[in-house]
Amino acid sequence: MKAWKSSPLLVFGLALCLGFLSACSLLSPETSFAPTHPEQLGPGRPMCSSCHESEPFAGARKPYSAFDHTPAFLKDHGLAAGRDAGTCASCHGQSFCADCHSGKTMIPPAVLLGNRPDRTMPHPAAYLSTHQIEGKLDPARCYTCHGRANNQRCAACHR
Amino acid sequence: MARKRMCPASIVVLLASTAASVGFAAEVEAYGTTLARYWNQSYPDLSKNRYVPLTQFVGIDATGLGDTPWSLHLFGWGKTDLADQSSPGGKGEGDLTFGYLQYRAPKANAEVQLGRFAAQGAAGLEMVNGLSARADLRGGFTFAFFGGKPVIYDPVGAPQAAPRDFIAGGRLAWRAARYGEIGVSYLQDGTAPKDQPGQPILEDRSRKLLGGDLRLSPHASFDISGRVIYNQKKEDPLSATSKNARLAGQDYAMSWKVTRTIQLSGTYIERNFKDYYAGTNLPALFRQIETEKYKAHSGLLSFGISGPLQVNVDYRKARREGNGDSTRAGAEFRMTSERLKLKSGLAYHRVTATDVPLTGGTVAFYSLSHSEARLWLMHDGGRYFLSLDAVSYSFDDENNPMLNGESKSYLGVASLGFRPGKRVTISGDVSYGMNPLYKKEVRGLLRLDFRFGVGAKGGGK
Repeated sequence: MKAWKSSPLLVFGLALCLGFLSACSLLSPETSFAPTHPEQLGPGRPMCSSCHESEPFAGARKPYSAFDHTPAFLKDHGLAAGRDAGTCASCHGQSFCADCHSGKTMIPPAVLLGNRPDRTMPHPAAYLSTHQIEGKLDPARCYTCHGRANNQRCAACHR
Repeated sequence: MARKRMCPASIVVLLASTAASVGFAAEVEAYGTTLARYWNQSYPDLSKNRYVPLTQFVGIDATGLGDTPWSLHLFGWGKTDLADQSSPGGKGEGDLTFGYLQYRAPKANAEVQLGRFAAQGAAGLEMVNGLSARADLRGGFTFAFFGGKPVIYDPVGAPQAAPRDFIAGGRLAWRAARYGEIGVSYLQDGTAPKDQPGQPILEDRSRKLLGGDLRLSPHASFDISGRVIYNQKKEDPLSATSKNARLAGQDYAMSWKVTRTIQLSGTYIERNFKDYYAGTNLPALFRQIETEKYKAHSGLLSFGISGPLQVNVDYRKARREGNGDSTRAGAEFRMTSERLKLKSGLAYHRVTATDVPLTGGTVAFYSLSHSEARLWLMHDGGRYFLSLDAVSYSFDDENNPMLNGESKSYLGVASLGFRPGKRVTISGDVSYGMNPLYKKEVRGLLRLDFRFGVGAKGGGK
């Protein structure tokens, strides 16, 4: 009984195993969404709802407008990516995400993509000199990506 | 601390499996970027360094392996320094960013990944060596699960930590078609170390997080999302504040498309440092102070969200209990002209913050307030393309000890590129800047991008 209390993960794992055992009958019969967008997208940030009117996005069960790349969507895309990574994968390869979100980014994204100033970068140019100020104002924002396991670069100065 | 390297046998197995997989694939795409960089840095103490690192990024996507829904995805990089050491990891280093086999079922968006991958859907984004699975279930339910060993990057000179032996997480959610979604997630990263007689005491960096999330969309134009994360790591039972589950953070976001071209959005976030930072590798930096919190609310009003002219006006007010209030407000103007094949942007933001106390310095308080301005443009003529990007910061208080007496910082980047063919791009960047860390910084970069094969997602987006 003690083991059940001390490890919710165990309970969660067992529940998942039971889920797998009856997976065939439980799985949704809906067709998976396309692994790639069937047409080449135009320049600029795509607005899905400009072509897909009001029908819900199969699988995601939400309107296409929920994935419009508006300034607000780009700023808070983490919430959507956590729920619908497969939808992102229709257009973006994993390497697109890794430009900014790789655990050990060798080159700051703003330098790697210095020829793409239109893309929003997590650390704009010369960020090293201003990160102390940003860190004083909001250190929790740094912790979204740094300070857990991928902190080799931070540890070089912050010991 | 010595860097862990892949053993030769692993490399041989990886290359052999890649070659075999690619040979059976219906669609294969190889892509990469070669970067040759050069920069000089002059420091306030008059010392100088010269850096010449060569970096190669390379990736392969092979889909339809043996005409099945299996695919292989690999991406990694290697770097060597031809002059001074440019990164803490050494003059030569490299990493497999991700490498996994993936199965995508034709029904139910069912997906399995095996290898090194980025796991999402629990309480964050984690790099894992292991297995992940997700699928949509009948009745609007969906589940995702991952487990394995966490990808570890050894901190240079960091104190010895408990081994992060495993990481696992999952999310179960229910979706009401069109109108919303509710989910619950769990993440466990490692286990607490056990004290062993005669052995050094290891820091406990394990994490146990329970999350809940909600999305409501009563109309296609309106969307509200929220997420809460509770820290479930067991505390010292003698602690006065000991509880089973403690709120580590919460996020809420609202967006409303007022018309087809105008969008109003807002966010609210809260972080409780003691529980949010539980499991940090850098306790000296991310201090788990019992009483300290960070709260912020922000608003963004966008005009012309789908047109060639776009104006974004944004505002954020934050309170960090240890450092006081701060506000950030400003505007951005973006323009796209298909006729001129031009994109450009102009932005200005002002950050106003309460003065911060300085212990043991020449002044009692210093200011974090500053202004930032940015101007950029891109022209893509097909065979040739160019871009310019300039950013400047103006700080209110040059007595801020972080600024080394400088009140301004700026950087300009100019890039010129050429496409000799559809699959290859050559470009070069030159940048010049000055900031509180480096009195003068000049950088040069040569970039070769290539992409061969078929299957580019979204036209290379």
